[in-house]
Amino acid sequence: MTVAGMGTQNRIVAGILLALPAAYLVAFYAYPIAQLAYLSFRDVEPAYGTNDFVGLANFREIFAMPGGWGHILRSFLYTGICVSASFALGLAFALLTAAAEEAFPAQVSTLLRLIVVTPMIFIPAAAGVMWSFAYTEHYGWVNHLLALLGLPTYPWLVSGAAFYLVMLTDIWGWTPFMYLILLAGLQSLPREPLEAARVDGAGTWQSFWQVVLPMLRPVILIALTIKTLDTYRAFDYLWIMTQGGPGTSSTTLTIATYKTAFMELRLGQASAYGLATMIFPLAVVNLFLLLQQRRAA
Amino acid sequence: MNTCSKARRGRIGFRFVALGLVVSLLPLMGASLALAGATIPGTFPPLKAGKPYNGITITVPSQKGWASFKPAVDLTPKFEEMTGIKVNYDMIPGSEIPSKQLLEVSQGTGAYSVVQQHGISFGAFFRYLQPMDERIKEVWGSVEKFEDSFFPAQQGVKGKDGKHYFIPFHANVQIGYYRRALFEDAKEKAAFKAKHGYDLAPPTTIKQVEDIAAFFTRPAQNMYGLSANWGGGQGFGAFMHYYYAAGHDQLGADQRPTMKAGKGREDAVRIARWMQEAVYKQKFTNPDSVNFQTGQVSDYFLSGAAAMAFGWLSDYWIFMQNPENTKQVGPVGAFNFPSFTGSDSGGYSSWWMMGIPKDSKQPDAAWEYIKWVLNKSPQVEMAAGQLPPMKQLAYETAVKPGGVNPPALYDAFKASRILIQVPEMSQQPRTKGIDLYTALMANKLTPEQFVDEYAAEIDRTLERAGYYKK
Repeated sequence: MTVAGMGTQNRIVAGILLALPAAYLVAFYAYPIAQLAYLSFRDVEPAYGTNDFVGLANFREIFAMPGGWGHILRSFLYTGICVSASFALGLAFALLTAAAEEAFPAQVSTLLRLIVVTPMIFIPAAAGVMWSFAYTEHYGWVNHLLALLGLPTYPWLVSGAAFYLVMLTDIWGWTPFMYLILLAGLQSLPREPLEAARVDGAGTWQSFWQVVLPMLRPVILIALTIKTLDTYRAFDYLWIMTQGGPGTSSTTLTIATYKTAFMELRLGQASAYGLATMIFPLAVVNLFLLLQQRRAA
Repeated sequence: MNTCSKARRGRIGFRFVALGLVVSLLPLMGASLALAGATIPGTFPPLKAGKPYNGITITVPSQKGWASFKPAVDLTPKFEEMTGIKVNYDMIPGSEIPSKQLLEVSQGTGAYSVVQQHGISFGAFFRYLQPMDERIKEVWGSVEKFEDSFFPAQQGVKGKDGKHYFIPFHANVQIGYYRRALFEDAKEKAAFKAKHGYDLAPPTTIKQVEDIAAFFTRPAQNMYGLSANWGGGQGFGAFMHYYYAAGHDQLGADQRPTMKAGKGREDAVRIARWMQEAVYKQKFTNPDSVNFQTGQVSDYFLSGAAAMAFGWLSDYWIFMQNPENTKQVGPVGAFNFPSFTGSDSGGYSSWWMMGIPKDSKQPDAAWEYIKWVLNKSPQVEMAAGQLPPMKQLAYETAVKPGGVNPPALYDAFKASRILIQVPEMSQQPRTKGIDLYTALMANKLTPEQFVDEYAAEIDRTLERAGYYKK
């Protein structure tokens, strides 16, 4: 039925039903983003009562300030390494589980699932505290192991290794997510193409590259998109374990935005950070939609 | 005549009734007048008697999990009973104390009846607060008398107009702690004297700190000479404490950073290098110290892993005096951490204050609350984790026999000063300073780079704020 064919009462009901999501979008998306954009062109510092239009100065400062480019590059490095490693590990564990299901009794794959999924039960904040503790020089088990091996102990989170150790924690915490999605994808694949490939003489690697991976592509795409968006905005592990330090060596765009807004109380500058930070996720989402459209076509 | 007398009698009668009414109301009026100036006996600063604000609810923001303010929170029902004012606490995580309150008062939401700020973040609040001088005069008689009853640090938190916007209620300073049993052990004393040629005792110079710390650093026993709160913001505060105790303020008379050049820079570099080398070169400070806050220092020290400790340890002083908690280390003593230059100018003082926002909906009831927090109770109860900012009470709790605090705390505090000298120093330079400091302590910056970059950050901020305009 077309709108023209609707009765007046139905049109009113349809209008109300459409108005609700529209109001939701305006209130929770359009208005905050507009406000963010508005503030990003102003020098807003409640501490000093300033609220002046400064044009693009806040955006220029992101690149001009010492370490500005470092924040941007670190965000991409963090995202790139964490997403790749979580994906590789998640896929490896998923394949291992699938293989274990075929080769061993069900208890083995259940145990494997349990082991791999365990990090997911931790709240990221609690996991951050737990790992921070693990890396301390005196109490941490990491240094305790090193000491047992006769190696020197070190306060790892106040060293140049801090950023990479946070990445390690992120990978530890997020591999189960990738694992579960990919395992579900693997288990839902039709078995016939794989069996046909085997009959045709394809080896394990050939079957994986030529059959499994192409069939798994839509699932991989979704998993990578979600994980990329989430990792790029990562805050919890970074803040709890290093607060962006030592120095600014683990300060990403999200940490810089938080510090600028809530420690330096420079709301205009923080809004510029917030707006600049949105560019990459928008690009990822659009790329995802484009790939989906192509696939559908 | 009869008619006339009747009318006259009526007028006289009316006058009598009116007079009678006035006479009968006099005691009531007198009582009311007296009540307006009456105060609750035994309170100082005095609280108004007669519950004039009965039924009013005030909202007080405070720091979540703050042990040394807990006694005041626990005693609040007494205040409520005395005044009829209901207190609603909004407990905010420590890191959000400045931003949450500043956003509320700058937006004029009226959410808070008072603000509670620390001496490192108060500067941003002046424009949103009511001046307190008139209220101060009502209680203390004059502003001078008020100032005289508090430690000199209060002078550092006045507005540019010379008025008081904040009333302090909690003071603290960083000091040193040591294991008395170790220091008094005959064998240790003899060995120390043989090695260094002077008696083992709480250090009074930095050289002695180094000697004692190195002497007690014994990896085989898993013991370091000194543990300290050198992590993040607290570590930056420790650096600033040493710098202030060396006789410097952050800004000179020209509002330029004192560590930019000359003696200030020389001392700042020396202190930064000393902290860095204590961990990485001399190795008498446990490496974890560069990530420690005071609570962790306290735990570490009480586990027996350090002979001396440095930090905001008065927060844990009472805890450390309980033999149950010091089984591993024995009795704990305190000392005023020596100055790097021998100056007795004091370090940097922690100074918690309350003010009344311009948009406070209940300013008078809020003032009653502020006065109550300054009263002997809860100040004495709070003294277990702080030093009362009023000199007399501080003396009673730290110097007089039977006081809950060590005399070293009073000694260290009496000349200490506020870290933030102009409002603009509160946010950006401090945040950058902490970043630079953590890089220093991770060996990613040299002491010279740390000092020069921090001085440059102060310069940049104050220049932008218009301090250096000709």
